[in-house]
Amino acid sequence: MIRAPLVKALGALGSPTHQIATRTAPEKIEVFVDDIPVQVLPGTTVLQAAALVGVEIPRFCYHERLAVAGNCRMCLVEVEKSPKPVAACAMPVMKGWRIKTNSDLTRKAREGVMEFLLMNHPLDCPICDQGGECDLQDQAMAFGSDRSRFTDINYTGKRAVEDKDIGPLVKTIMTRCIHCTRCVRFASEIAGVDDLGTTGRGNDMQIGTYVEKLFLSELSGNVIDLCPVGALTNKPYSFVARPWEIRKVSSIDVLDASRFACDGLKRQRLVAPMVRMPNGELQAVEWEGALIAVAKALKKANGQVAGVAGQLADVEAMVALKDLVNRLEGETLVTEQGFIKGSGTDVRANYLLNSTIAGLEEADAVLLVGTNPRYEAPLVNTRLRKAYVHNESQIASIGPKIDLSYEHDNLGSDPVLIKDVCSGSHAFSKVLEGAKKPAIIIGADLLEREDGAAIHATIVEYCQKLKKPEWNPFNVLQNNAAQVGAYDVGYQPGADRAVKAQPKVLFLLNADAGKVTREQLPKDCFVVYIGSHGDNGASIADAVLPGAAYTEKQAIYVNTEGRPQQTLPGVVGTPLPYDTLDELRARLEDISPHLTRLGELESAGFNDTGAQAAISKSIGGGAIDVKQKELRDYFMTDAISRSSLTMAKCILAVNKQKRQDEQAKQSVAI
Amino acid sequence: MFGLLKVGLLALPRLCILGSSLHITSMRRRSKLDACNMYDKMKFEFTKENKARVESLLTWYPEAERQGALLPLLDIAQRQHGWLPISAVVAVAEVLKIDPMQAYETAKYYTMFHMKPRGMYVVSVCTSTPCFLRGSDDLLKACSKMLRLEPGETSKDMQFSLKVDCCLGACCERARSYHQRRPVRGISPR
Repeated sequence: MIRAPLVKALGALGSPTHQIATRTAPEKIEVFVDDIPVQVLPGTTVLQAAALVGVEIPRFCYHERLAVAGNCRMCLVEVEKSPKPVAACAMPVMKGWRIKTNSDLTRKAREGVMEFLLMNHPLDCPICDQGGECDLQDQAMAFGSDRSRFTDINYTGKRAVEDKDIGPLVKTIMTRCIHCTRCVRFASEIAGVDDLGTTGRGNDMQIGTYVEKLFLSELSGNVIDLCPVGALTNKPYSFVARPWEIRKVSSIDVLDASRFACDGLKRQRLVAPMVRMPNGELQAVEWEGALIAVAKALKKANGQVAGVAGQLADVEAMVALKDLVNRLEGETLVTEQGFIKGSGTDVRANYLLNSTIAGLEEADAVLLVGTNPRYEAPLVNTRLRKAYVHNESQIASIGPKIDLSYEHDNLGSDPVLIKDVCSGSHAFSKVLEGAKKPAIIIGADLLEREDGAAIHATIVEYCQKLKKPEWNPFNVLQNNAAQVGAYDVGYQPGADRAVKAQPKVLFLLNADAGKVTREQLPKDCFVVYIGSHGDNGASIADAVLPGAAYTEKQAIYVNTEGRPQQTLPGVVGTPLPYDTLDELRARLEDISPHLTRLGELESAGFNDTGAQAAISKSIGGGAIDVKQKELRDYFMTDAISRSSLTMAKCILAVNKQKRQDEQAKQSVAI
Repeated sequence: MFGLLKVGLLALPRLCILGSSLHITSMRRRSKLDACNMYDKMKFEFTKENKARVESLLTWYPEAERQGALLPLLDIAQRQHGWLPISAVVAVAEVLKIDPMQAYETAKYYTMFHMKPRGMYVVSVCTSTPCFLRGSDDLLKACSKMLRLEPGETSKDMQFSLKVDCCLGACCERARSYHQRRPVRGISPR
């Protein structure tokens, strides 16, 4: 498998999605696809030109976001005056070419390729999980021959390949593999783990790893979707349902932890309202009883009411809670995750990823402070990796030594380094100052520290110096889904504020991180937990009101760059009162108008940030640390993944792999 | 019935028969599992002379294109060790600063890299199309019978290995054999 850098593999232009730098547009050339003229840029491939006129050429190995491999040969098409068919995915068009996508020669070539593929592909579609959404099935129907010449004259059986064990998420049935190498390219280009590869040659070629080991990546689940056949399928989901039996819901999850933690949605669920009885046990009661108990406590509270929102709380629920608490004359509304001390959340730019996730691709110098984007936000990390691969972006980190899947300088974990860099005395400051689009990314956990405000202020001030027109280098990487939304609707950061208020009634809205404990609260405090899972929050509650999990309701979340996103209910029969949702949304618009413009990105002003946060500038305290250092820290980070069996298996598997690696190392050393 | 026979000389004198042969899948035993055991048992480190050789070889390549030295380095490793254990592949990958998988892919692809211990004499039979038409399957069967080895196996006394190859570069010739890199002609199943 050739692993040329993408730019090289694609030639000067490559596919449009790979273009990062905008070039001056060269003159367009005219080609004909099935006699339809089309104007394309030089360097466009035959396949892309055909797509422009709406002709889809069948393909297996080609994927628009991966490097071109050209090894499946399914995209062979006839080009007039060319002696043999050309591979459409890899061949750039020339002026005046007449491409024939449905000629006799093209059809014959496709049928031939399909025949070879099917000769080595088992006929187990009825028991294959890919059946129904399989590219090979579809294309065999559409482009294959209508009869087979395959007869097993010697009764030797078809080619068979042993299955690999690459982890608890991806199930392999390697006999089905057609060697498109999409998974190999995904692993090395996007995930940055060169673990997969092709071994052997000819009939013995296999996809695999060089010693039996796990495909250790936080993005490994994506190869399931990439695989055009049923060679890589979803292990926890195997033999559960057929593709035509399920409904499609467009979604925003592409990470292993959220994709495979879905079994956690079924376990440890709160199904009925519960009230703590005088003997200290939580007992299931009717809704009426639970609500009356809460109402009684609220009446007694006399305005001493507080609310804490956890990492999975949605914006609507937070607004409703805020209104409730405010109407009861309570003031304390906080998020579980802390932020800098003081009034840091008044200005949006202070807590957003201001360079935007897609924008980070263009960054040419990045400094990571106390964050591990690989596990905190793998999507941000893939963008940074893209910047590293295509833009030769220089990346440095302050914090513990971690593997980010690309090369970066670890400057150390001493907090004084932040000062050094920001005063311009550190070597990396020169890199940042010389960069066209520098970016500094701070982990949200870091800002929770005592000196968080000082770190924030120092970096904000330095970013004022670094900023360019249309480019804000200051970034905070939030790692909770609820965080930005909570700040947007006026929640204050830090659960300790709620404790300090010593409320009579405390609402915990999906607050499961265990930051508020029973001991910190006054003895007569009535704790109400609203959420979906019996985790830390419910265990200290006096009344538990079960709610829907994020997959079951139509709710808004605001991501780390400040883009409101909507989840869609995946399960019927949600307990959310839909008739009042519109009213709730209207109220939401009153508070923060940008929240209802879904998918749109509102950039936050930058100019006022500096003055706001300058409180104290003494950076001290211990070494800078990140919570998720390794893959095993990545799988269980919230109430849902903590109750997921699959995630537990992942951690087991990663630990086992680690032990094996250590043993192997020792035996080599002997 | 003719075939091709070759004896290649590497670190030790060894014999390769290039013939033409029926396609037999030699991957009956999973090399992966073997490789795993090797990884546990075999330790590989370049000798001093070879280290110097590696260093001088790397000066040929510009810094950015160092991985171009992959094949010669694997060859040096194989000459030193007699065959290519996975630890050697990893060692080469470390020198070149590439991922072990990349080096492993290459080593697995080229049939002249031996990923398993081989005998003093390696009998390799070509099974590509021209040799097949010349009756390579009969030749392979004859070799297999005479050496009492299945393709891909090595005799217990480490004298002979039998392997299936893909084109040994003598498609135009009639029956031919090599002994210590000299061709020996007239190989037939008899």
